[in-house]
Amino acid sequence: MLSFQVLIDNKIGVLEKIAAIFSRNRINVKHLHVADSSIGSLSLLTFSADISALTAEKLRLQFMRIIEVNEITLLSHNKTVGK
Amino acid sequence: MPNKSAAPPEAALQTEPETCTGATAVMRCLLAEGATLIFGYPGGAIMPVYDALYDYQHQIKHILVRHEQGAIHAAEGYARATGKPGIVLATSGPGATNLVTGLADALMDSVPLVCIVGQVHSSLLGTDAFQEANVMSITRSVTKWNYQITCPDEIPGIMAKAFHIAREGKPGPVLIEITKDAQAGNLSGDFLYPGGKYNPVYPVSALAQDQLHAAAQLLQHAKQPLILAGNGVGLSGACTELLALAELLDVPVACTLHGLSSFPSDHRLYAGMLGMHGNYAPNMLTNQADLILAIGMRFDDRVTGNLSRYALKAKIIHIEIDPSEINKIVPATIALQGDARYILQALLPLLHQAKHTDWIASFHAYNETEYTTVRQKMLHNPSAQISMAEVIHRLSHLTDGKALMVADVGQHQMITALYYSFRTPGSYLTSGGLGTMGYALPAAMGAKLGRQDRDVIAVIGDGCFQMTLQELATIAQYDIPVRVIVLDNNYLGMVRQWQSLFFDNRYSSVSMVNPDFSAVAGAFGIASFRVTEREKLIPALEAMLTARGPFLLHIQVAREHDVFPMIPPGAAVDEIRLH
Repeated sequence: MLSFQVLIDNKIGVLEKIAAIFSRNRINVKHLHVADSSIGSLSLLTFSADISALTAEKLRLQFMRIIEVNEITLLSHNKTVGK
Repeated sequence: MPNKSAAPPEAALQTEPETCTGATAVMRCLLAEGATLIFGYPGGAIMPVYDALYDYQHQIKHILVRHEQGAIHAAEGYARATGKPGIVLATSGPGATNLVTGLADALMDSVPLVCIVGQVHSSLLGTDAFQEANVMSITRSVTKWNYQITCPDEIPGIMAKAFHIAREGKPGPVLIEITKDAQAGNLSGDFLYPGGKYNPVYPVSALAQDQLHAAAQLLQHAKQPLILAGNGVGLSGACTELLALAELLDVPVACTLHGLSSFPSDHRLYAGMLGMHGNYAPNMLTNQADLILAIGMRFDDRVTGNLSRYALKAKIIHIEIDPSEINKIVPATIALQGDARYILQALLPLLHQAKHTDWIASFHAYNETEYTTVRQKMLHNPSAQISMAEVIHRLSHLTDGKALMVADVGQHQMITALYYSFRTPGSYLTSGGLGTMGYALPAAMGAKLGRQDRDVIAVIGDGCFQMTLQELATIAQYDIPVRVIVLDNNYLGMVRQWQSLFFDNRYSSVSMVNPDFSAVAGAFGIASFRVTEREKLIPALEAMLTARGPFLLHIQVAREHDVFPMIPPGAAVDEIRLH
């Protein structure tokens, strides 16, 4: 099980953009949590799924393409990637 | 009716604040972005914007297409030919859904587009109103960015952001949906356009000098280096730098489908096209190279073939603007993230002259094999039937390799790529990533409107042509002097070739009974000619090339020619077949 934290703009439709990446890659999410972050108008999205490290890296690259994504952290590896 | 406005006009100007509707704001944003041309199709939910366009028709020319797909492919052609974002206007519901294929195409091929679509009044959202579709959800996966505007005040900021995102970094399509009330309502304050204030989408950190020097070291000491030039070379305007680097280091340059024309095809270092229907030499020698310098390309599966047997001996230097493309398919030994031109300019002073005479000779040997086994037969074919290859070869000679070629998708696309000898950058537009049949006719129309100084020639198969041929009416209405060649083999040729090679000749739903396309063009008022015999080919091509207006040439070609070389699906690059 791997977990991600994604810092996103709190805007209509962003959750759908994230969800589209799950379904495109046939990933069944085990846990999903969205909350206000303490940073401006950003939200913190946390999710976990049964995926390999390779798939996690693929997901990270695809999340980077979403304009409203600001920062991605792979919790199990504790590796933060800004944009 | 009594005149109620007693005050003189000057007084009205002094007392009333400036009012600007959302629709007028859209026009002023387009002007601020320097737009002079848009492609579109009106309808209910975009009518306020079309009404505002009426006031700006002398500054912004609108091309009324015959189908929204025609508008978006025309905008793609315009964008790729000029380097400026293509602009599309369409209505809600079917107007917007008809854009989906073009959006996906532009996303795959990095084409900057700004599409503005209407939407029902915001109070009707989610009620299944007439021509309401959930366009935000539908287009989310096929755009670089999309956004729904429901308040007129958002328009200037969002439009500026849309143009910025479309152009910046790896370009792509943006869709902005504006509800009818946001178009018709007034801005609460003055119109102010915040152009240019947005941060880069993909910030490029200062080039790591150690990486740059390490890359230069690898390049300098490679024994068998190979450059792979992709779409990014043309997008960043790096053709001069690429030529300089290749000549300095004496390195062969192979192009991807979208890299074609970024390196002159008649140059001694030109190695040919990569990939499934590429040339023999660059595919065979990819696995012999000890260093690959990949510039602005993304290692598409059509380029790499079987990944586990790709670039077996090579270290990889990957120059790429989009960080999400780096290490996605092929791990880079050294990754240089940023604009190709900027990076090549930084690399050049670190390099000095090298020679790879034997290595280059090995390319020439493979070229010779391809020539005697494949090309000679296609070009000097004794049969009565004209081959696609000889049409493109003749055309290449007659235009001196300087035309802007727009190819559709299929056999004719690969034949144009293989047999046209490109001598000018930015000269091969096609649908590469998505492989959208029907792309070429509208794209050629847009390319010609953007580059009236260039000879724009569309090469289209009979299947593709019938997907968007309604745009002949647009071409005729605006008298757009594009040249259209329809290569007709009465087959979906590439599918037939696959059925022949991999499905035991079971030709399933690929044969086509076609109309006389020259008569079709004639009915649209477009000059045309039909060629069935070889003797008529050159005079017909010459007539087409000297025509003042649009011209269509319908050429009947051999029915069952296959395109070779070919890497069979699942095979490695060096398992490329010549027959």
